[in-house]
Amino acid sequence: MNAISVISMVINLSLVFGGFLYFLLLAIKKEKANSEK
Amino acid sequence: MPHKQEFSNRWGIILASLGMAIGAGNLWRFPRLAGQYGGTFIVLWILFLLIWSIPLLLAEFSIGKKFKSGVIGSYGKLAGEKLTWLGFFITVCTLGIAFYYSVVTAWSIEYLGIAISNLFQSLVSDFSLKETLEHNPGYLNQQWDQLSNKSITTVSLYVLIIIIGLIVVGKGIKNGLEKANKVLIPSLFILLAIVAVSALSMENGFKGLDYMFSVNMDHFKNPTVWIEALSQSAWSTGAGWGLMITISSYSRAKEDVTLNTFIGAFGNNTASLFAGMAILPAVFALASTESEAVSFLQSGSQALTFTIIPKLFSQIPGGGFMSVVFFLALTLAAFSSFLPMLQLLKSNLEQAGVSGKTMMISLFIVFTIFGFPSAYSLDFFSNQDWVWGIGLVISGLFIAFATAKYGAVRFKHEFIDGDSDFKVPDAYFKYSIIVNLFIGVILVYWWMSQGYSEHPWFTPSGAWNVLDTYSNATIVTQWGSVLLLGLIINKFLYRKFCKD
Repeated sequence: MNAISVISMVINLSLVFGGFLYFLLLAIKKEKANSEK
Repeated sequence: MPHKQEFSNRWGIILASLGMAIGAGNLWRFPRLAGQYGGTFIVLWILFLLIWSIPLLLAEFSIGKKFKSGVIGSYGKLAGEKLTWLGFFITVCTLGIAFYYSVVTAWSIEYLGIAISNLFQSLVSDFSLKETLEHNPGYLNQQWDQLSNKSITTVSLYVLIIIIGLIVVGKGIKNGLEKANKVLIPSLFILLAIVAVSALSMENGFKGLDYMFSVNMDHFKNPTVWIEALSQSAWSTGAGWGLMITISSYSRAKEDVTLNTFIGAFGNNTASLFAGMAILPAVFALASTESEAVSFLQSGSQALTFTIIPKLFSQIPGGGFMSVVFFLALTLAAFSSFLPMLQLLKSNLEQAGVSGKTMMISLFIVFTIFGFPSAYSLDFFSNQDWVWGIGLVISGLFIAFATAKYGAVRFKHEFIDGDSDFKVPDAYFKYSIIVNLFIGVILVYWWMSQGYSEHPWFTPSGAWNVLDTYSNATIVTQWGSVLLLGLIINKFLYRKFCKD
């Protein structure tokens, strides 16, 4: 793979998959906080 | 009467929205476009996720949550009595898709059966799909022609899909849709990961990733890439379908709108990227040359999934197993998208006072009658795909219009922000909704002008070209009939669906 494709892959995966994981973890955190109330 | 059933928790509604969004388009259309236009397409596809899909999904989620009604009822309550017919159009448009989409589910099951049978035969006898294709290169196309036209097996499987779907949604939200998605969605992600890892471990597999993520600046000047990125985001996330209104109408009273919508939207795109990372390496590893790989990717419609994938997987050791895994994933994806479509009609009928056995029989009859022509004839299927596929953009426009009419910022403050764990900026929501009104018009114009060149409005003898599968005349006639009917029965719709 050439360098630009690798950089593009890292950025795109970070944005999409990273975004998905970030929002998912945020929801888990919120649910945990709610259940502890 | 507002819905009384609810999802048991946040995860129920997130899985339902993922099930709704992740479908055949993620597993085949996305990899095809990503292979053709590379990283440029992916950048634009992410851009349109933020501009088109997420604002519309936020609007739909909050409309369903607020009014707790079917699409017609929710839309009428938001937009007002005189515009209830627009909600009727959204409902009919999505049902138009549901009637032929259930046929895709039937095909997926048929090909899953074929893949299992091929795998079994290769284990117990000398059968090899690769050798069969060497003797008869047209074998898979002949198989496809048999299954997609006048096939009793396809029609029978189609009816079976409806029955299974009715059993699931008949169990209610918690015991039906929610339980089914708990199995379907995690399984789908696992299957995609298996195919991706297998494909990447092949020789040349990484060449597919190279094509998928390489950024060609010239593609940014090509309007087709922009339109394909927008249409892929619009259709893949389910924005504008009214399905999110249906799902969220069963949400809990204090359900978060923004965070759940973002999880659903980004989860859908993650599934697409996984599918791309599974299919493209396989295509490039198995094609004899790069140009052959690219020509595979550029070849036509979703239907080619059923002829190209088995061919690709037949070339490698262990390909029979991968073919089974792929078609199982496709079946799960298609079925999980079909369930909310059934639920959409069910929730509208509930609102109209239909319930119990009458409801189930009505759903069965409606889906069997209106879906049968697509199950029986590929031309009819293609026509419906053409007409209602573009119709979805009109549905999205209607949702953006109702939101703008209410006042985008007011709408956001009153409907979206209340129970949301985080809030998007007012300006982002407001300007996205306004921009979407223009984007939608441009998209419809582009699609119709694409058809116009080869499929004129009138036949050579001067007749209205309504019977041509891909003509604009067939689009305008079918949309026009639904809009006219909606206008005629508008008062009835408002009385029946909007008054609690």
